[in-house]
Amino acid sequence: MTCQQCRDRIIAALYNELSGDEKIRFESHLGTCKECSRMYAEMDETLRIMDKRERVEPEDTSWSGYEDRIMEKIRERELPAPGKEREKFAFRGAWVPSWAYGIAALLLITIGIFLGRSLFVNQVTAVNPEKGQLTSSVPVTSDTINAAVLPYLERSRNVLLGIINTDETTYSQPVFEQQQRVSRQLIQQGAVIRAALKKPDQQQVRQLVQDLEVILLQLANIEVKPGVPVVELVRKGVDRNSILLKINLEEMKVKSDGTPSTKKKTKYRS
Amino acid sequence: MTDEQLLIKRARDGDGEAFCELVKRSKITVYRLAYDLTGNRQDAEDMSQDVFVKAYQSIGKFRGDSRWKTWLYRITVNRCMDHHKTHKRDSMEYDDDVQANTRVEFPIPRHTAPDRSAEANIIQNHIEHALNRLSRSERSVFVLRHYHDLSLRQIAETLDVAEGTVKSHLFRALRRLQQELSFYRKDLGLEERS
Repeated sequence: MTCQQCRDRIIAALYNELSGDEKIRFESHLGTCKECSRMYAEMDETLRIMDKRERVEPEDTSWSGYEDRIMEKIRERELPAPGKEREKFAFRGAWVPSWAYGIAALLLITIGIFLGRSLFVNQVTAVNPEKGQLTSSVPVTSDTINAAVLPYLERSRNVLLGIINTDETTYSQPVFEQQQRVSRQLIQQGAVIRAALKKPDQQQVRQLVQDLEVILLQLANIEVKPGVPVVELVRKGVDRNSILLKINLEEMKVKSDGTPSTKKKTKYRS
Repeated sequence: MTDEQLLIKRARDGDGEAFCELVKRSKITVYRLAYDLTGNRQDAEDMSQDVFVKAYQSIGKFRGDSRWKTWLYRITVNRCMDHHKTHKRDSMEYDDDVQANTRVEFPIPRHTAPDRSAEANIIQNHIEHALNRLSRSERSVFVLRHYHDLSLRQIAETLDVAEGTVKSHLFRALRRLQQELSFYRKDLGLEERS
């Protein structure tokens, strides 16, 4: 036994709480170690001094009517009788232990989480049009953002292709009301998505969303009237930034990374 | 089911007489622990009454996992801790965080009894003085072990701490008491034997 081991057991030894084997090894160590032996002896002597302590007992009169005084105190404080207190928590006459309430609460929370995940797993973003803020019923994670990016890109591409492929010669004056309305929605969604794309590896897609915003903004605000080359303006914007190519590349990248596919229906509140 | 368990069950069901019987059986034990923890008779009397009021309040939660006595010990120690916090400003005793080697001089409490000799009274005062130098935790552990004969494991259960913690508190308590009472070793003829 080392000195440290001996000191770890000194309290148990003083109060005779060592097991037979430990006691033998402890005493054997004391026989060979003066320092530990001295420490043990001094502590033992201190305990013998403490044995001399005498308590001051209360006067005999203090005990008379003691129980009555306690019950009086209980009445003064208007404490309910133990049985009565439990009735508050009784259910159909049966005693319900307090831990059962904890389990019930935990069960309710679990059911809530399960229902929430089942019903709202794809409800990623909802846009507050006035503030342009992400208001989501689920936390914004990289998965939820990726799930929002794909539909956003797909929708943007459809809008842009719809305009670019318009044959202006077949219409006296094409109408782009529908595309402009969708552009405004996409601008709001784009702002939300871009704000959520903060990681360094999301820089590329963030830039793409930003480029799209410029074009969509242009489209949304353009005044469609005779003589304004709407299709040409959009086409130039798309070509200049190779938008369609970038959209295709980004879609491939997101899909190959195993992020949620566009087949999942992502609901947006517009 | 033992007689005590039967009384506890009845008390839990709101039987005042059963509770009074439990108080009657435990009042001296609770008073003595309160006195050992406070070193003051009046405080101990008041505190022991509070302990039973608290026990009455909480007896519905007492499931009998521990013994009735152990449960009362726990309430008493907690009540003393609360009392200490409440009266901390007035107290001149050590706190847990005060360094062991810090000396705070204060008047020695008067634990005198007319039937004792002057010398015995002095010894009593010094012993109480030494106990007052312990932190709350050290004192609780020491009195439970030394004056109430609880094993280290029982103390750990009562205070809801690890047994190792009990040992280390007790070790520190003994070392401090040893320092405080070192001069007695010579007076009592113990020095020569060491």
